[in-house]
Amino acid sequence: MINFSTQSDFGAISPMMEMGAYEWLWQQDIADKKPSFKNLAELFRQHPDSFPSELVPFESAEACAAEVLSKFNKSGVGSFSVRVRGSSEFPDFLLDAEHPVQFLYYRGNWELVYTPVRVAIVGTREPSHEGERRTAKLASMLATRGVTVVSGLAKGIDTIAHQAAIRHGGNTIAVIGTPLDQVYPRENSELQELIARKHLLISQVPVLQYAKRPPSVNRFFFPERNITMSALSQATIIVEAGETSGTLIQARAALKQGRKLFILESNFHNPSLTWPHRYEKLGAIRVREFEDILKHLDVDQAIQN
Amino acid sequence: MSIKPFKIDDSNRGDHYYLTAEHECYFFYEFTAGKLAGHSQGNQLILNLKKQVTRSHLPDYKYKIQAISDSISLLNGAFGMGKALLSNAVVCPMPPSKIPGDPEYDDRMLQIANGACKGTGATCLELLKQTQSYATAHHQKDGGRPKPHELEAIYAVDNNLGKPIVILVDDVLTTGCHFVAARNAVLKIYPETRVIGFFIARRALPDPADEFSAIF
Repeated sequence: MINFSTQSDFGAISPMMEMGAYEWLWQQDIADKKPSFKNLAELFRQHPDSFPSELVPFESAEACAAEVLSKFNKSGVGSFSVRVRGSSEFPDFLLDAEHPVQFLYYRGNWELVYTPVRVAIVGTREPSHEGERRTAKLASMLATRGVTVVSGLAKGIDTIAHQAAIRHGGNTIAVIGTPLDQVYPRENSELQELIARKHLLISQVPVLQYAKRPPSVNRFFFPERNITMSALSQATIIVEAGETSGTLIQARAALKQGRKLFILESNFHNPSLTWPHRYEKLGAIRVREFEDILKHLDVDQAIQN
Repeated sequence: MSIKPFKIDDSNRGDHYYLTAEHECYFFYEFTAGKLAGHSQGNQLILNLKKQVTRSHLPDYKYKIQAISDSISLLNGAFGMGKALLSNAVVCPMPPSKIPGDPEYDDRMLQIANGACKGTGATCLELLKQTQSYATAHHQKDGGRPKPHELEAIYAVDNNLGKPIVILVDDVLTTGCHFVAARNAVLKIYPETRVIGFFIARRALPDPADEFSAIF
């Protein structure tokens, strides 16, 4: 890979050029070097002090950036911004992921990333009635104590967690598995817009590559965002999940990243599930009552400081 | 603290109502309107910088002094990366909302501009002076914020520039009104000048109130 010098005055970073370069890198589908978060992380391990724009021809980055802006304009994505690793306000804790993201799009209040306690609430897209009730209760109790509720804006547990946090006047962060100009599921379109305007909406998904790929390939972006969601939070709580649920990707990531993993007690009593016991052995914390979470996270202390 | 500045470009210019492609502006941090809780480094810095001078007897004023020093480091670092330009530049603080003599007169940007020039070859000059005070944007309750031509009318420009580049420094970029007014005032007298804006932070996600008063 050639190093392209950016030649900008004051060593300034152009968000647009970084965005274009990131998008271009995602389009380099060459032989065995398929673009992926893993391969991009590898590229930047080889070029630790480089910004995306330094690895991409200027005109290519510029053209990709223009294409993204035009797409955003067309689909009505309002004010948005980006975060690039190596620049200000790119949180170190995102680097705890096995293949850290280099670049993120966001809309809304980035400061929520720095709120003292951030907890991800995740689980199945098809929760039981009890699961729905538990999620709403948990998210509202955390939100009223000043905890920022992080989730993935998917159907089911995620949606309920965001809604409950908002309803109780709390903060919420959604890390989505689609680009900023897409909504999945469709019915969350209003909620996504509300989060983007009043809270924080984050996406690591490349806009142009997503538009080119079929849904069967794009669905792989969802588990990738779970890894970022975990890195962004001090803890992940699994409310309810099946044996093959994508939620377990986040469970694995949380433990790997040295985050706390909470599993609600009810999962342990479901005879068809083996994962709760497996993850408990690996270090997950069994939650019998709400206080267990507060105690392990030292929420009151953290928020007071 | 060595942080690379960001550029205002096509991706973010729309958040600043008065800025167009001819305006060259840089910033270090970003925040959302009305959401300055101070959890992030950038927001903390801005909150501290904006502490009013009438609070100078209070213990928390030391944070303002620290914020001024941190802002100097930020700018000085970026200026150090543009040394070829700096030797041809005058660094000018954006005039504060209150004129000297007013009990609320705050010279923080003058202190910052002065400190930021150190070792860069640039000259610090109060190129622009305000001939009268106006209420700061965030204190005006009626939504009647000044427009660039109104501000331009109360700026007096020093007749001793002598350099081809003017770097205007300010704490927060909101609509871009002050920058555009100051730039226009400079260009009126020195039409060949390259005017650059340097901001500690930019306000992302516009406050609907800013937009409203800019339009009407």
